[in-house]
Amino acid sequence: MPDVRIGAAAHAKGVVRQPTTLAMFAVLPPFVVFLYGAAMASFPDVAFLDGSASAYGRIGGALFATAFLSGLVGLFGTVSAARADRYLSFAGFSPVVLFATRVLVGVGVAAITAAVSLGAVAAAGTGVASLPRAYAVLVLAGVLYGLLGLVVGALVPRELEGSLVLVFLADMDSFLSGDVLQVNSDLVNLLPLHYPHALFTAAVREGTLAGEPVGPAVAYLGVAGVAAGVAYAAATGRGWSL
Amino acid sequence: MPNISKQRGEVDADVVLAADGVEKTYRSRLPWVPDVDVLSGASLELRAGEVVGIVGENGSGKSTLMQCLVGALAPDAGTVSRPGAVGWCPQDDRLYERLTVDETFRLFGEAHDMSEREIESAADRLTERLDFQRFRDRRVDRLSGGNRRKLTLSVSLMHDPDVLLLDEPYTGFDWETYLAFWDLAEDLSERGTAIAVISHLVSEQDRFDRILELRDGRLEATDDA
Amino acid sequence: MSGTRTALAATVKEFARTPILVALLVVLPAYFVGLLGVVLPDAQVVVSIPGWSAQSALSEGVLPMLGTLAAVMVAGIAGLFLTVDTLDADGWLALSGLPSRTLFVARAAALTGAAALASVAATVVLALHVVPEQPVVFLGATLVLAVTYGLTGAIVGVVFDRLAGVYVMLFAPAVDLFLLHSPLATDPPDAAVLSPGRWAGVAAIDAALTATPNWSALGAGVAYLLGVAVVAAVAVGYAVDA
Repeated sequence: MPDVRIGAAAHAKGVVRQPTTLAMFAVLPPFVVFLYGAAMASFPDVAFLDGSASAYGRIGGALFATAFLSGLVGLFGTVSAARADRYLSFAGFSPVVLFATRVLVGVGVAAITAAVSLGAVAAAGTGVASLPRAYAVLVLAGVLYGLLGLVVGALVPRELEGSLVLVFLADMDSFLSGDVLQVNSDLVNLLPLHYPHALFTAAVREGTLAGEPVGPAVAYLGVAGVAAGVAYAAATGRGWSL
Repeated sequence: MPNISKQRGEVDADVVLAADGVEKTYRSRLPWVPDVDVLSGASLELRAGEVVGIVGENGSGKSTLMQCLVGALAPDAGTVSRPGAVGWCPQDDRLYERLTVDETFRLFGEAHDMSEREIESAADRLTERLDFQRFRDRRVDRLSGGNRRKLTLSVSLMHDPDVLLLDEPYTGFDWETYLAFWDLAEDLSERGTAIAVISHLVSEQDRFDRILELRDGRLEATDDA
Repeated sequence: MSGTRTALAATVKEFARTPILVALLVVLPAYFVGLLGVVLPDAQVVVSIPGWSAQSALSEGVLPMLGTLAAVMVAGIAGLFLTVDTLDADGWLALSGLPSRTLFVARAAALTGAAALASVAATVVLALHVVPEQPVVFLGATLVLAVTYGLTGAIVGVVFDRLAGVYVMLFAPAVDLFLLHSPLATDPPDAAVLSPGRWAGVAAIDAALTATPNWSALGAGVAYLLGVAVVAAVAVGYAVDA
């Protein structure tokens, strides 16, 4: 599919051809992992924690660092390129293909950030029992938030307002899905990172995803994908056509 | 406001802006992306009352030159002296999107240290001259491209500067407004304001006292009107 | 002064004429505090701030900090965009003769207004669940910290691009207040004294949980704010004049 390749390459260049973006991918996620680890060390007797509080912090930090960077790329990509994408679709690019290229770039961003974040966790001294499983879950979390960023960008097509919405969603998600506040509510199950957090913790600590909510996490991803597709069609104003 | 009559062809008219050996390179932050050399010793003098056209290929550095002349960009080398007040109409409309036309006049007039009466008078005069007075209560983000350009142009000259630097000033103008612009430019020139215009439309060469071409980073005279 | 007044009026109009933004300034903190107030359990925990510690219901101990955090997050993102969104126009305005320090004062005043809106919204909704012991001091300390982060957002906006800037402003307040200076934390790292939350943040939580204001922390918070304001003025002035 040459047009998917061309479109993905074009969108990828839009992301990568900014020096600060490249630096951000390399520097910020490890910084977040380190900060979370250092900050969680000040939580001593937290009963729900299994093992070192710092390790717990790094696990959460890696997940959030990956997810939120992907989410922001999804948001900013949608807001800044909606007009260009609309113009491309008028020029003949299929909206389905355009959407696919956006998702592909999101997967790429998630893959890079996940690798950097996971590397930071390992480098900080937290043993990762299963690197492939942990990496896969991080990528899933990143793609999930990339799709959410796309939805927010379509609904709130301005960078300032979209950032506010995404930040408040992301912070609520990080506070509640990470179990620091030990919230027992059905609402927590609806948070995007609830299942990925459990999966990532299991992959890092135990090296297995057996008995973990893989199905719900993938289902959540599917729902986010559909929502993102609908939102993207609305944002480009062209509906859906092959 | 200077009251200097236009002195075509006289070499000792007041120089209101002078640039000597201006150089500018856009340096890349990434080692594998090359630097872009734009200006390599551009020089010019603008005299009171003259109208100068600056032409050049796309990407030749005309806007960069103008930004160096006005002080928006610091040149890497060379000097620019501006003994008089300068007005600059940038190529892109650098306006506050949610302010109205009148509010934009008020804000920039305040920056130019104009009194309220002066601001009001300038706004009345310029909106009428360029025929967009009926949009004075409209927000900038709801103006057409041509009207945004009129506002940008008006803001650049509302304070009666000694020298006007105009970068593609009539993009999006209808024909009547284009003619109105040149009427206005002629009036300003007769009052002693020096005007430099970057434009691709210099086919009407008799409107210019001189036309300079920016080529290979330097300015060369091409024609005198 | 007329220059400052005109610039302030222009700044307020430029940003307040987006109804969704004004709504988000109020709605987001209200949703954040309101939702957390509903889901946080009443489990008994030990909450501590410098010089004080007690048993408390989790919601009573932690929700005030989350209220402050909500206002801070809004102000941080707002400060970032307030600075970078109009840099081109600001540069032209500065060239036209308005001193960049005048513009900065106007922007800081507008940012304080936005931070005040968010702080009041957060405090009002907080009071529906947990009434701070000293509501006025709590509101004041929250406002001081929010403006501090708003000006930090301005600095971040100048140093980073928008995407990286939002990423930084998403994590910085969360790590500062939710982790380093959480009432559940007992032993923050020594370097935590460098963060704004150690001062105005602690003053806010103190005002929420105890009957005696921590004036020294609040005073230090105000001094911190002034220091950040100086740095922000220099950074923004450099960006505008560049």
